[in-house]
Amino acid sequence: MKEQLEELRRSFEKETENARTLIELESIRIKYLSRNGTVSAFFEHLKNVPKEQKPVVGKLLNELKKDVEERFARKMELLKSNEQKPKEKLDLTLPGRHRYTGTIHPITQTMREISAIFKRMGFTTATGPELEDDWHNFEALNFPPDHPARDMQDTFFISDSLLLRTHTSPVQIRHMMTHKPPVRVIMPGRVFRNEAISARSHMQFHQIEGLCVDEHVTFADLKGTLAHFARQFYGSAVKFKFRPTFFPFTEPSADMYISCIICGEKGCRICKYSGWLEILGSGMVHPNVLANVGYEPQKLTGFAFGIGIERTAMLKYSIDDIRLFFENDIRFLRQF
Amino acid sequence: MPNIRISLKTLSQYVPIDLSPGDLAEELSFAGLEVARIDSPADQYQNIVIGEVKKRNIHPNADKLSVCEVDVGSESRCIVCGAPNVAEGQKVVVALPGANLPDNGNDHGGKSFKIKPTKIRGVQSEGMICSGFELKISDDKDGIHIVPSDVPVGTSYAEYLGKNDTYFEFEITPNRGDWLSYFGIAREIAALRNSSWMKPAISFHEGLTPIEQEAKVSILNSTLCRRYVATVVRNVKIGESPQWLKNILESAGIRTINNIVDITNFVMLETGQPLHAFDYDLLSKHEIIVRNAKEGETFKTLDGKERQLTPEMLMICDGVRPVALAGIMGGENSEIRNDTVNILLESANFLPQNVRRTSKNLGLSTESSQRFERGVDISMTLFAARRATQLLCEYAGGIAAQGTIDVFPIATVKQVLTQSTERTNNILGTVLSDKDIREYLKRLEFEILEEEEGKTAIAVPSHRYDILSEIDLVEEIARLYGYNNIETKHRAEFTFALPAAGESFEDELKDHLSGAGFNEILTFSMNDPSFSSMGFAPRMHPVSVLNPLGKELSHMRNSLIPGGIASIRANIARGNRNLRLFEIGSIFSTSTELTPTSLSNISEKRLLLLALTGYDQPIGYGNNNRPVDIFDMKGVVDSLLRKYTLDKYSLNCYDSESALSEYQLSIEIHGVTSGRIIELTSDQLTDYEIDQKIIFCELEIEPLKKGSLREKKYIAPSKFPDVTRDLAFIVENSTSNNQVMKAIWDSKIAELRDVVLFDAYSGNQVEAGKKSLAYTVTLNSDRGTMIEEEVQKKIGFIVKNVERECGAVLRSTG
Repeated sequence: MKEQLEELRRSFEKETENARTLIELESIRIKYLSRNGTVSAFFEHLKNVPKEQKPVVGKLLNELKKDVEERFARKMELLKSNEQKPKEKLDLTLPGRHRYTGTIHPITQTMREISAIFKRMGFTTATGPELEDDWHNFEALNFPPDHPARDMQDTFFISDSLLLRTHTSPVQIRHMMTHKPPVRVIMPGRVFRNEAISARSHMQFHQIEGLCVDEHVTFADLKGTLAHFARQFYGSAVKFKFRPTFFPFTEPSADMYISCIICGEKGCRICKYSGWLEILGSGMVHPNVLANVGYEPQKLTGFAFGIGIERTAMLKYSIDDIRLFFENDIRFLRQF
Repeated sequence: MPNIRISLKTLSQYVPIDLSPGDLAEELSFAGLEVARIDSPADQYQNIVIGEVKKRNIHPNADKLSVCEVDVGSESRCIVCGAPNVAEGQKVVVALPGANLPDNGNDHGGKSFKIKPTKIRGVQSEGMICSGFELKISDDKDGIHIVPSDVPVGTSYAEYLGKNDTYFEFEITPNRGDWLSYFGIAREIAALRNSSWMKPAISFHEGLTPIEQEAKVSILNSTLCRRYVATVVRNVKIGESPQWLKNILESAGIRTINNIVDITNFVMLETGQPLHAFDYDLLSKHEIIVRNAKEGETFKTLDGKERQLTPEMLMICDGVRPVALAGIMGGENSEIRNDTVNILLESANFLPQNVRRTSKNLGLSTESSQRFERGVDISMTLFAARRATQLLCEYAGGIAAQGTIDVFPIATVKQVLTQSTERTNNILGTVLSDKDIREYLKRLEFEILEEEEGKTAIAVPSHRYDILSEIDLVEEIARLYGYNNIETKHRAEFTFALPAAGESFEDELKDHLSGAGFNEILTFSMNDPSFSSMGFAPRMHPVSVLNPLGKELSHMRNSLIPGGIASIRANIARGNRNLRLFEIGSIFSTSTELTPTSLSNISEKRLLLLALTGYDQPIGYGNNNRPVDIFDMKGVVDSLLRKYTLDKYSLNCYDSESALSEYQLSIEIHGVTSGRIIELTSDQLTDYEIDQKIIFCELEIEPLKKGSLREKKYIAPSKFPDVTRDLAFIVENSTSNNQVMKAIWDSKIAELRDVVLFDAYSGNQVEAGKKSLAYTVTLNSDRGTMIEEEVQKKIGFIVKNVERECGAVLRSTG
């Protein structure tokens, strides 16, 4: 009896396993589980089992029935879910429901990217007013009165003593006047020059100024910091070099050049066929500037740098007209 | 920045040049003397040489053509020529294969023409004998151009023209006036290349009349005029300058005038010392007096302009009147004319600051003033005078008076500086020795006065106006050592610093707004005065620019709205009508009606502008578009304020009679007015030619930033579920949502958590003159799940309070 039951279980399991459709499964149900099915036949047979064996066989039989029914139900479920239901027809090529997508201005994005690099090097951020006085913008920065150096920066004046800052450097002065050394700070902001508006120059633009003053800061640190910046911003393969130049507030002063990222040093319109691009101005903070803010120029040294954001963004995004930044054409803004 | 363009050929007379032009330019640029441009006019004449026609035969297949054997120096070439005037023995210009003949605007369709070996009627021709037309020097097309017989065969055509030269255009930084001359550049090359440079030797025949008998010079202001050298040259012949001199002036962009003026300009280019030649016979009493101008004095400069003088200006005068604006420009009354016979030559040294002030005040900048402003070498005054006198004798046939007048009232004291080797290394991050440093300084013509271990005392040469302290010497040492030889240090030690609170708040705000679908714009900080009535702070005055680019940029913006209008206009003009824009920028105003003179008069504020116009959603499938209105803006502002200031704000509506806005809301944060929401009036829209609604919000950044910095403390949310009930009230039309909201909150139900208006209705379903306002109120208790009876009780209180406060009638609950 027991063997017969096992035999039944095996054949049921095998057949169920092989069933591919609900129709096949139905024939299995009829064969085993219907009123005239095999399982019922065994229950019928139970009558003939000796009385003392009845509980044991009955138990076996009940277990078998339960197992078989469960297995059957599971298979049924599976086949049902596999069976193709007629679906509601959806045209999934219909577009999604759009919402307006905002953008951050490319000038802001470029500033952020540059700032992030210096922040990772331990620089904090400071800002200052766009409308400045002569002392912060020129005098404290070692521009002598009646010196041609002042011609380097055509200035918008509000009055004899007030002006629109021509660079972010006055923030250096403000920051040092209010912070004890050491300082390590970047100063982003808008600046103004009294220049005609054209594709290449504008009366307003943006800069990021940097300043690091401490004991033992050298020109080698300036080079290292700015080289690290250039490699992160323009790619690790970029080559760089420094060229002497003149700023009243730094001495020695240096312009930094990188190998042209457009042509790879072959020479192109952007690098004026020199293979090199000027990316920033820098230098060691002039001792007069340190003295002007009450720092000890014999004890402290430092470096400063200034990066033009528009120029950098133009290089980065291949923009050929600076005016685009302030036209705010939505078709321009949406590209960033 | 002034530029100077110099000829390398001329330069090589002063200093040996042992580098190619490209390498020299690189070396100079990396020493700070930037070569902005290199040009070689000779490049266009490559492969064009002078040849001699040795033999001429008639072409075997064409009567009108000749087959010529032409000696071009290194070899003989067979060239077919069609010109009738070709003859044996002629010296001609031959374009060899590879030459590019200039575009003569005709023969080759406006393009330059490249010479190749060609077969002409069966005879191989290896080049071309050129006509004046082909060389672009004359209109003669028919005959070949014949050159003088003494020109050696094989000479390059560029050399024959005197154009076999390379020109450097330098961009001179304002600190280095000494580089504005051939001498200055030669000196720099000598220092960099460790070679030496030289001045031309001066010798000329002096006449018998001592100069003291010819002229007299007195300086009345020796602070402004530090030295005055004069020479007199008699019997000059005014004429054209020699070609070499003209070439040098032309290459420097200086107009040639006559031999006298050209010589003074040449010596200025050569030595850096500006000179002026007076017509000696036009100087009253043959006297020069250097003095300040008198109040009210006027003077006609030689450009024909009458100049109004002020007492701080320095004048060169003769016995009775001004004859030159010191260091800037001479006067018409004493200039060199075609009939000038005798000359007084001035070589003087003026105080840089004074020349600059006068030049700025008169708006008159000249080659001379640019050099004086930057400082002219006081040791060059005499040399330059004698050099020019020599050339005047040589090229204008003059006879110099014996000797020179040299008034030099206060002897200059050499500036002495001490250079510390340790400090130099500490600044540069180098390990230079005393010896290295002295070597560099010597090469730069610093005079070594004392040498001590680690210290060098030097005297600054008189041409270096930019060396004022030790740090300036550090730069000189760095330049010669080479910036690119200094280590690039990839390790830094720094002190940790705390960032300023809220330093990245604006960035945070920008991210929030771009996430809310706004595009960031940047507009001009200046705008047209007609916008000033839109000012954000109504009681303040606008700030105006003294020297604006134009009227439309003459006021500092006192609101961001005008920039927003301009951006919207520009976009609509290009067909982009659906805009959500924001800007964060500074606005300016002043408390005084007068011109502000101190920053304390100025208010500079950071502001946020939001702008909405067009449809509330982008046009597209599934969006039911409607034009934006003020409630769209209110929603944006509400969520922004809620984010940063919790509930410490309100949006207040005032009945505004203002012509500035159709509707206006005032934004208060912690009880202080901090912003506004404005819908432009239809009149304004008409003025700006805009045909759709625009809603702006302006909001001060500072209170938002403060809000963002508030301490954030956790409040445990209730563990029990919220209960919500909808309440609709019928109220008079004049009753506002705010009044009902206030009444709900004022019912002081501790369990009240939130109230949201979900419907406002007036129409058939309610009585005329009334409206229905429907709210969802949320209740929650920390003590346990609220049971229905309790909810009913609380809702009852609310309803009663609204009925009492607003005369409302409950329409339904749910």
